[in-house]
Amino acid sequence: MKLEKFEQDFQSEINEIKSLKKAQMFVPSFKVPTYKELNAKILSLVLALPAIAVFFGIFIFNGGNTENKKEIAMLEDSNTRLINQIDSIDYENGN
Amino acid sequence: MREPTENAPKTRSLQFEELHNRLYGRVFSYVSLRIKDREEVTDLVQEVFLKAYRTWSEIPEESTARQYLFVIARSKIIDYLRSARHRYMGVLQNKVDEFGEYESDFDSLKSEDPLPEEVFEKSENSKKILELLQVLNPLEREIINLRFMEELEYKELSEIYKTSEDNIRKKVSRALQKVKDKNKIKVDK
Repeated sequence: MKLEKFEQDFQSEINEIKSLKKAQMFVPSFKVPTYKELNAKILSLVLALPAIAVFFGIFIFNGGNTENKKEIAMLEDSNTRLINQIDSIDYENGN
Repeated sequence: MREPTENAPKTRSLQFEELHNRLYGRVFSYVSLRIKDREEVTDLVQEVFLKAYRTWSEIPEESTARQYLFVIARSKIIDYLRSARHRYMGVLQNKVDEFGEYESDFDSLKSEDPLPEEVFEKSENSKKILELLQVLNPLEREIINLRFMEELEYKELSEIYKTSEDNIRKKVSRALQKVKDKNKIKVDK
């Protein structure tokens, strides 16, 4: 490497810096993600999403359903009471 | 099925792999000068080579490839430091110096930050020189490394740091003066 003029004033510092040696290093192999691997990842995501949606859907639906069932049961009880009251009034009136 | 012959042209992947094996260490040491976490360094270096692989339709000759890899590495380092800064400080500084770095990067990075010793050979000489280089800030160490250990020309350095060659020369001159002054102090003692 040819030193520039201003660098020549620092010859000894530069020689010291250049004497620093880099350690041997483990070089991992270079791996490019192939289309096969990328496609596999995309496919697993595409399949997983509906499965997750179904799982949460069942959970929410059942939870909602329970609420509906309770309401229906309460309405049915209320209807039954009303019908019983109507029957007893009819009976009193001689119907 | 025909067997591949010895003289068959190498595939792009094979050529790139060979280049990767030859230059990995250089890019790794360069990134290590700025980023301490070895795992982060490994990830960043992998990203550098991946970007190069995707960008190059043809593998350039080694000296061009080396310069280009340092350009990508530099860009990755800046992004990393900015995102780390943003993560920890929550504020982005607007003022940048001629090297595209936030000025406070120089102030906040202490000169006492140790150099990555594992990147260099373990010897008394290495220890002595690394101690000497502690007087430089991280950017100065980077540029000195690229100029004198990687032997890049000022034109190449100016492309990596996206600044003028004169700015780089000023930086190198200041850095060498600091090292000289430190040496003088040691000798006088």
